[in-house]
Amino acid sequence: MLVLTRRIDEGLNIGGEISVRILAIDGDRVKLGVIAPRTVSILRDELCQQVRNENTAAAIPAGQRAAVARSLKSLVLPAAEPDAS
Amino acid sequence: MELTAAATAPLNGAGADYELTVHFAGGLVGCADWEHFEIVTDSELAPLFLINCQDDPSIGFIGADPTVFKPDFCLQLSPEDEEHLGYPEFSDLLVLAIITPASSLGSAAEPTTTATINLLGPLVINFKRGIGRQVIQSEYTAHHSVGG
Repeated sequence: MLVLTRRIDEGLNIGGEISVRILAIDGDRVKLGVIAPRTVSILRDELCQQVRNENTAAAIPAGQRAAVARSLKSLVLPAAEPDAS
Repeated sequence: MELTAAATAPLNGAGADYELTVHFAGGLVGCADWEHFEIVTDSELAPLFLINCQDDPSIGFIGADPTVFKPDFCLQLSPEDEEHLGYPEFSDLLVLAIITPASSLGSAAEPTTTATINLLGPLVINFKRGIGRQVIQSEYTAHHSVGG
């Protein structure tokens, strides 16, 4: 991890195509501006962490998967099903 | 691109067995090694799908179209998502959200009583090209309650 200190209006250039700028500092909040190509995803860290954690939590061993699915289906059937149309 | 209808187009009606191989370039979010998956369902499992990882057979999930549990679920694809998915038409897409069964998974014989579905990070699959991407839908929760 690279650690450095920047002031307001100072920025970083990452990989030649991504730039990050400190736009404002207000108490414990820092406003960042990010310019990046459309192909680069920019996501709040905590969202990625949540999805990653849920991926790990949801993993079911191969031997149990079909059986768990069948028992889960009994929960699904009482729920509203989409119209066939 | 905004999608509001259930995307279960690949299912050809009751009795259909369905199997699809999908490549998620870069893997799932936070799980870069899980790139190749086999998506499976049949008349017994539907509307649930098995999502089996071919890179690590011990890894796999149960998933479903999010609109089965949240009928007003609205998928929004960013331009970046669309690019990674090969600029699909709506009719090319299968959307599956991963279901997390309750932690009481000790015995497969015991029915699970509660489960949640991850609407924050659904899997979007361009089934015509066999490519997929786990996209972030920040307005939704990773723990939408299911059944129980």
